[in-house]
Amino acid sequence: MPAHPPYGEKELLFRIKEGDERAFDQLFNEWYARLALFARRYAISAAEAEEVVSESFMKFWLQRDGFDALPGIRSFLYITTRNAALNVLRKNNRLPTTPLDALETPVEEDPFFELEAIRAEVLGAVFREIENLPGKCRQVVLLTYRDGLNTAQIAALMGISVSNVTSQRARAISLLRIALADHYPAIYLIWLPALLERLLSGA
Amino acid sequence: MNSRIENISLLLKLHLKGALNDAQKQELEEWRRLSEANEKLLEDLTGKDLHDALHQLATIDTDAARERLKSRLFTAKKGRIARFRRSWWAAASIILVLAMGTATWVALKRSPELVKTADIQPGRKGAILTLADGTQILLDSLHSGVVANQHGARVLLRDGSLAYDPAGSADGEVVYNTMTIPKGRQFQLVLPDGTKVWLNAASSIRYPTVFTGKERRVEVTGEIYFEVAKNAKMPFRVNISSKAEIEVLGTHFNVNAYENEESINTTLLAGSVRVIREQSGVMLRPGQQAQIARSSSRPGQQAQIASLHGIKVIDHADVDRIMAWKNGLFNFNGASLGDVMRQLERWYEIEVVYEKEIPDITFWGEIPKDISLSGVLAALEKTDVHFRIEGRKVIVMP
Repeated sequence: MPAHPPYGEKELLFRIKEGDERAFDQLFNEWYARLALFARRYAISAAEAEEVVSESFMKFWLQRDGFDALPGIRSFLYITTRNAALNVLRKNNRLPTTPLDALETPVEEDPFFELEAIRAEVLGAVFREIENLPGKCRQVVLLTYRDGLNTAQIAALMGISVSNVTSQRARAISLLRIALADHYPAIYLIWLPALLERLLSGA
Repeated sequence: MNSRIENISLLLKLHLKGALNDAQKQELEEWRRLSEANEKLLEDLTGKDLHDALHQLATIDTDAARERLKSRLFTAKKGRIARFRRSWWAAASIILVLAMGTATWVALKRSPELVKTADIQPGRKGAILTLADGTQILLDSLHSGVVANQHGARVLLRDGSLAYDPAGSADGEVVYNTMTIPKGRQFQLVLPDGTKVWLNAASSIRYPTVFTGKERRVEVTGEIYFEVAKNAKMPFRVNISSKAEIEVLGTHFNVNAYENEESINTTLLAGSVRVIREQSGVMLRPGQQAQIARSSSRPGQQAQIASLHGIKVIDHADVDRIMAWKNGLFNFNGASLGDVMRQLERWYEIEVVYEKEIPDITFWGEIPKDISLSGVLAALEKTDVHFRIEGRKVIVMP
């Protein structure tokens, strides 16, 4: 968890140009995992995905003078990561049987790219907000989706009642909804109702 | 990531507040229905895939990754960062050198000792265009505009690249032009059919000012990267000093045919080509490289490895290394000192002389092409090799 409150967009951009380490941290902490998730969708390994994303961050940081807004930085990171992932596949001859489409399609015309980027953003945002939930609430959510436990199992493990587990889940849904509506563009929210439903329905 | 998304975002915000009117509800619904892909994404996000995805996210150690990257990006001295300008210099600042079996990470620094007077500058854009009548035009410092007229085809120079505009010139004979790139230069050309050609130092291409007939033929020497315009009715053929031919339909490939290299290498990036030697040929798939050995092998060398019609095909060519020249870099991965020095000879227009025999060193790494010669040599000197510069001659000493 960061030791200081996050910088707002204007200050963040200013500090990025200055080369401030903490600005770097903020961007990296927020976006790294979701970019790695996105990279893996190109059928490369977890290790390759992480390496490719780290390289993208490095390339961005060394050219950070040229960026004036966060969406531009985010686009750059996704596009650079996509191209590097395709490179990994090409180098190891692991491209799917119609390689030319993937290679020759410019990013602007690649529907796979846009959807996968959005998917990564949605899931990344949800995950990050889950991490910010209050203690018990967070634990219930993690036990549900990460460990796949059902309500009864969670109740037993945490030493709380079954109805407590259910109410913590409901609380999580409303807290997540608020947090996500606040911090992230509303485009993600089209999926949220169904997503949260499924996410926290447990068994 | 585009304005359409911004618009949908607004609709969604209103949707959340329950403030959409019927027309807006309709628009939102249409967007959802608009592509199967959107629906599929929705499904994806609400199944087992979702759990797997979140599990993946949970296992990523962001902190560790961040610290690893920061140790490369940020040095101990604060305040140094500001000087990292947007240049390749910093991005390519580590070269791994494998010398005599031991690996050493080497930091590329500007070494003041080697910066003598008259530091040799890197190559730049330039070319010599030879017209059909023998007239030669130096393209180095010409400004944009019409350079020549060849029997109705206009030759235009724009942004450091030459283009042929047939402009309805079905009249007249077919004439040939030659573009020659001397050492220390590189250039770009667009042929009359729209084919894009990038030429490395010490290369040339001879081509007609208009393509007519059954096929499009060009002749090349040196190193050239092609992006051939599609034309199924007129196959594109590249002739390499009558030693090999490449037959092409719309595609992207690199030819390395320097006389002083061991083989003629054709690497296919996309599309398909047939590499032909003395009437027989092999088809390449993207990522493959065809090698045709030059007959003047070193004494004692036997006819080698199984090859088809004298053409050896390798899979998984290192495309980054092969295309580095076009992307403003030297890529020395797996290169011997001889390989490295030959590339430097062409780009810096120098003569390389070896005092003793060539030391056995293998290099790895990339450095930008736009730095002066002393910068490059300073990096290479971190291994057990030393250089002395005398005018335009570089002497390699052990």
